[in-house]
Amino acid sequence: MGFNSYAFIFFFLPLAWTLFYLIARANGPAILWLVGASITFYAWNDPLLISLMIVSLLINYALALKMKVSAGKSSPPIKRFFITGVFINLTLLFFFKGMISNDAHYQIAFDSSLTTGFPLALSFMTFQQILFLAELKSGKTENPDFLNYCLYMIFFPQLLAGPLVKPQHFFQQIAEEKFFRIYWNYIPAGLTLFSLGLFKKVALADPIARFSDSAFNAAHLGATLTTGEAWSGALSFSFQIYFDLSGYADMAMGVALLFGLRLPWNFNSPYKADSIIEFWRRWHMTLSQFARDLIYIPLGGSEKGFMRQAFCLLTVMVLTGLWHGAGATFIVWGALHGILLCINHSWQRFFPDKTLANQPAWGVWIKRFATFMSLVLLWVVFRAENMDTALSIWKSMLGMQSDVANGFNNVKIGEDRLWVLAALAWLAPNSREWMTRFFSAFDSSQNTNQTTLNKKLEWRPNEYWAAFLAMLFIVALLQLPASREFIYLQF
Amino acid sequence: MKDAIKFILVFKLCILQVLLVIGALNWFVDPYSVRRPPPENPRQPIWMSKQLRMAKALYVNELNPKGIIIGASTAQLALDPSHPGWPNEIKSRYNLALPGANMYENLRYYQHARANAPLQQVILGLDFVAFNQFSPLSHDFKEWLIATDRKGNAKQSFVLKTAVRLFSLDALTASQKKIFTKRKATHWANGREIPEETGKRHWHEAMLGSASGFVTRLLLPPPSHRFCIEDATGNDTAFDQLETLLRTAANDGTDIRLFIQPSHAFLLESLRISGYWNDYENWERKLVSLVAKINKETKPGKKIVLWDFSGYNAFTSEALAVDSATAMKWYWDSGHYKKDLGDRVQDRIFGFKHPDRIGLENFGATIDANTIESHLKTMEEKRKIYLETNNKDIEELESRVKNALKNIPPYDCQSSTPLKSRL
Repeated sequence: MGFNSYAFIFFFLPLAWTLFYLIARANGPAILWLVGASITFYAWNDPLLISLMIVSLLINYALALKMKVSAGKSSPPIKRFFITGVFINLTLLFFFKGMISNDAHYQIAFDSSLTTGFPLALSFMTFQQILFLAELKSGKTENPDFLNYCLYMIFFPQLLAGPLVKPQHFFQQIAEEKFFRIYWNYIPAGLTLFSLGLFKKVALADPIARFSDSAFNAAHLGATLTTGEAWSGALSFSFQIYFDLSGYADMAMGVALLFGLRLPWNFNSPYKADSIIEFWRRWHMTLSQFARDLIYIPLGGSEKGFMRQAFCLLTVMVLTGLWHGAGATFIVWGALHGILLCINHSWQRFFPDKTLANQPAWGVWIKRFATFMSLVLLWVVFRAENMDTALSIWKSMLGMQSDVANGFNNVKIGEDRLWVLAALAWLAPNSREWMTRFFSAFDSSQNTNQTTLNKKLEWRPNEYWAAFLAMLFIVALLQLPASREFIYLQF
Repeated sequence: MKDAIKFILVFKLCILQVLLVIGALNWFVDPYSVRRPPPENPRQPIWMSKQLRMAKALYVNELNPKGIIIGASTAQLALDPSHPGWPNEIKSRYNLALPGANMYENLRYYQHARANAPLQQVILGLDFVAFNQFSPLSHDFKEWLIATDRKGNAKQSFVLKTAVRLFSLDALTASQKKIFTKRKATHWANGREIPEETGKRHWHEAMLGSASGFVTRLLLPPPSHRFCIEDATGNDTAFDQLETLLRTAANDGTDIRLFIQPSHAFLLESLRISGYWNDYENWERKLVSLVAKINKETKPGKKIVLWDFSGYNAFTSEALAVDSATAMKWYWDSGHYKKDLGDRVQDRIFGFKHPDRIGLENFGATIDANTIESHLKTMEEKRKIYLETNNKDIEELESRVKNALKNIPPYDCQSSTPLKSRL
């Protein structure tokens, strides 16, 4: 079941929410209900998937218990159990990734009518399990009881595509008494983020998808694209995946807020980044942090000279690429990102004075534009079915193809939409900025964004915002039948 | 808390209010003609949305036809389900053919109709181009419109039953179109398309232009500009889809009749000029062998019959009028034939004799494993005669087709190695 489905919006979510608070009010097993609801959510389309989820939960919880028992002894057993846990989780993940890599590339995301054998949410559950074991190992979190652990792992708003939540952040919130009472102040914020996310996904990301599909499918079938067609396809996909993930992040956060839980931000206007380094701090933020904390830093990070740092960056990015799929395109995409990050870091090492603070506005915009263009070029290889297709599109984008007549390929170009989406991505405040007033009450770091937005434009729970968001919700709702699966659900 | 409650109330009321207005408008305008029971008179003209795949899928949900016609625009335009040759006991019939439908769409719409009501009669118009591996799915084909999964198992869909009709942007757009086009009829209630007015039609150009356009738009459709019945691994998915359709119909005891469309001879000549004549012959052979395979497993009285109306007969060889403004008698263009010819096709398929339509004994032939080679040979002989009298037109056609093919890059269905052009 996806957030962008009638079943979720009109049946599952209202039912899960109402019964949770009714059970909690009667001092009943409310957590058990949420765990059950999350399992139902997960198994909606394919009940057989539950078995895999349950096996993963049992094995990891057993390891967590072992780690707790070992805590009083010397550290090697803890490390051993941790490594065993990581090994089991990664083996499971790569087993299924390997199984589907040959014949199911992109089928879920780009043609939602097709299905693939990859178990939904396995990637994020794997990372969440590893994160849990790592935090347990470092003593940052206590071993929770089984139900709380299950809820942390499979809480439905975050289950499918993140964000990755640190266990202590989650357990702290569900330990509070107010978690079991309706927290009315959270509800408008939850509805706001859910509506914004739904709008981004259904009204912005999905309609542009047909333009990227049109160009990429044509190139895959051997057509030589014109420069305009190639750019249209590449830009369309760049905005499709942007609003797709942004929409998912908002909806996940919104749904969690309805249940009185705050999830970490996962998306922060990544196309406003003025460097690739900055991009990865803004794109799928919790996943980037996970890669930094559990791969990059343990490998040596930036502490042991530039060459070691370059090796770490390349390793992290190739693994990130590999995580998306075991195909050459993903590996190349990851490696190219790694190379750009190395260049970016070396620039920072050699020209430490050229920081953002010293740059005029036009300089920032040039860097932002250059970063965006690099990203667009790299999204081509990420989206392409194979390297031949990617190379063909790149050649077209660079005007290196000859004798291509306009209209010959019948590729759809969505120029008007692209301008609108570019303006939204670059000029409009993001959800985090809109919601500064609300979130700054819990987290002082939220204020960092305040300067960018006129105070009058900040979200507040009043009737004007309610009406505006209702309109966004309706626009999205009217397009729901044509909505697709979220792209990140396949990874 | 007060602010929060006010926010929630305003949010919900706004949504409810706007949805009610949109739902009421769509219910009143009824853009897919599904609110009232389908008209009793199957030849009543009705307006149908240009979202034809959605409109027809929804219409079938209401009509629950027991007899359907499937195929592409050729069948939609020319085949009347109210033809008197149909068995009388099949009262509700519908022309479910769709423009540009390939075999996959034909199969899915067949499954859709079958999920709504048990089918007693199916007529399937076969187009050569519908078997192309590279024939693209129409942009308005949506899997969720179909009332079954891909295996043909029926599924319930709130989306199809309610949401799409009342609360979708598609319905709203269709309502707006219906209001502003003043409900000008586009189809008859039985699903057959009403031909566009032809007052300014330039018939000579329509025939020649459509034959060369057929090559670049349908035979070698963009963006791939390729025609392959089999893919590189030797799979012919369109035939697999046809086999699924035929097998399902045979298991259900549905009377299914297949026919190859009576395209104008220009279309066959376009195939020859483009280098696809052998593919066409092999396609016919494969059809014959598939039907024979299914027939082996069916009871004697339920054998599937395959008709071929293509070739060089009295209708398909209709000459271009010297005066370009004079209308063709049987054709709209080289691919689309008129209802008068469609009626004759159905006369032959059903063995119906109409007093005004005589002399059809040589129009079309049933083909099977025993007759296919002699049938193709006869076609070749008739072609020679046709060329003798239509040489000038064919020369013009050849020049147009060759010109259109100039931009098509060569390809090979079996490998990615570039080939020399077929020309």
